[in-house]
Amino acid sequence: MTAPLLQLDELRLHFDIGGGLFARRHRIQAVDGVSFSLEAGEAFGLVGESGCGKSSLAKAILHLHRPSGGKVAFDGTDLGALGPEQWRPLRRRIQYVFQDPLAALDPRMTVVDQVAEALAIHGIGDRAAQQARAFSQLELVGLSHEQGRKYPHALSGGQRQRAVLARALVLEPDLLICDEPLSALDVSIQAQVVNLLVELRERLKVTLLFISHDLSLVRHLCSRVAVMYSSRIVELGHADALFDRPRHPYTRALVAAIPVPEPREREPELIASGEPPSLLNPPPGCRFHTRCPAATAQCRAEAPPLIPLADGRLAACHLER
Amino acid sequence: MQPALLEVRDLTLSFLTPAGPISILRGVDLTISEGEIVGLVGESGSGKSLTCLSLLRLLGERARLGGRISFLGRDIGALAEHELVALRGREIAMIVQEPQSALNPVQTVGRQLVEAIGLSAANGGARGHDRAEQLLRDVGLPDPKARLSAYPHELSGGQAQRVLIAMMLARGPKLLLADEPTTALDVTVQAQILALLRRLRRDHGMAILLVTHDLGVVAETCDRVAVMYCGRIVESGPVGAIFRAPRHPYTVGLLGARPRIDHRVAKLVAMDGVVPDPRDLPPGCSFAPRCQRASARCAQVPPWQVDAVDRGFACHHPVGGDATP
Repeated sequence: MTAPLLQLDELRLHFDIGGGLFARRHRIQAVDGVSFSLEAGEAFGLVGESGCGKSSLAKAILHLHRPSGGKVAFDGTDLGALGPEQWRPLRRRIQYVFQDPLAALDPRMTVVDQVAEALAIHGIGDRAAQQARAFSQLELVGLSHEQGRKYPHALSGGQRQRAVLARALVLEPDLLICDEPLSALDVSIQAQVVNLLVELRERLKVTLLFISHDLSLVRHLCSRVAVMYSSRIVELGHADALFDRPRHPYTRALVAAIPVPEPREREPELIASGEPPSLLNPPPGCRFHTRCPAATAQCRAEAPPLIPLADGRLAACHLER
Repeated sequence: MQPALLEVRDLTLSFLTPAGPISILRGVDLTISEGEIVGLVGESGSGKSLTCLSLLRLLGERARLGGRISFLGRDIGALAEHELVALRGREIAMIVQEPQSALNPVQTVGRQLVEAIGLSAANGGARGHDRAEQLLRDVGLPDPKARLSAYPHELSGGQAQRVLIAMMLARGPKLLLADEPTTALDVTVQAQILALLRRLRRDHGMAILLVTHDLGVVAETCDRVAVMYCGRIVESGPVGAIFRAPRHPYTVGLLGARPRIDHRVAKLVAMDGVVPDPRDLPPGCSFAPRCQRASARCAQVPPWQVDAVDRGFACHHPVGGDATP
């Protein structure tokens, strides 16, 4: 077996907030000991509700926020040990797409110039070659030459997200990290971009880390999935098994809460009560115990480790051992 | 069948702009019976929210409203401003996508609730306070007594939505307009709020117009659904019938565009193109430029066709066999 393309080992990220003259310092543990790895070529989904730490995890992987502990290895290289110069070639190989394309694009540059600029930064080709390459990449994501010559404000939300994708993919990255890339789009436009993403991933053989709160989308796009709750991974496994037969009580509640476009009677007992805990003051033991219908004394005292179950998936639940 | 609570016939809405009027609603028909939950579905810009605001006549000076809105037999279009003030909140209430924006940030939850209670009856002081606590308990807010002294910024989105629902309940309206009430919420909290809306209908007999872009939310919550596109209702009927056998190609398109949580779909069926600009609508059927079934006939506005009891659509080439001309 080859080494994984991306490996997270007990990754931690905390933020210290407050701490003025009289104020107490508070620590937010946004990512608390997350380990998983991505094989080259796979599509891996990371799901969770807002505030669970999934975006912080993406930023810690990219070292946009320096991890407070643990390790990120990309293609065998420990990213924490790199200086700025050594980062540059890796910034080409790891690309990312965030939710708001308008914030990601420069309002004063045409779209094609922004795609070409990515090539220029990494010194790929001369000016003419960069322009030509940028136009052909835009075509690949369904934007015409005419649209490429426009400024971001003149494009629709779907077109902007296509432009961001073109800019990320023109560098032929090995890993594409997408953080809620489709959440701001209307249903019919979202489907177009989803199909594009599926097609491009297959054609370009890029490894995908897809971060989303939209479980249906993740099931559609990804073969493996990790579920994050209150800064920790609670379940990880193959998408079909995980969504068809969720084992962690949180995953079960999450899957049961997704509305299905088919009239049916919802089983009310499956609706999780309460809300996710604050990361400022997470509960001891299993973080889900405050909402879990089956929680025991052990759950309230001891954090369950993420361990393999019989079918190979990982789950962090005292009741599933 | 229950008697109609709200009957909207040929509702039109346009806004006057320096460049000429922009037509937003172009003949909306909608009926809501007592105790019924009706879903209004469509993408951004289809006119869902403005339909709600039209029902309350909260439109501003540049709006021109046409057609007839009849609520319990009264013509809302003919009401004077003071009659509208009496109607809003007390008979028809509204909750919105961002509950935080609807709450006063510098007043406690309790004070805002007591104010809402005071509007419905002259019972201030301690009684108002008790009633406020009871209302918060009714909407399932944990630790309601402590919450009364909280400010809106101390609430999560789900809690703020519950407070708004409590304020709405204080005045006991017969119809609730819920405009994307769960879109900004996490999915487990969304499930709680949808369950609460169903409970309001069951316990208080409240009718609800639920505006959403999520067909899953409609399927699990509503009795009937109306699908909106470019300011028109293109299909409506009982939820079961519409989801089992949609007739309008746009409804089919919406259903095919979303992946499912309960099974893996091979490929999403994406509709081509984008929703047209309201200033530049195609003649006839607005969906025609994106529709695979479109023909020359679609340059004419398709008439509304009744398909079965309480079910209809507006399409020249409906799915499942051409309609009678």
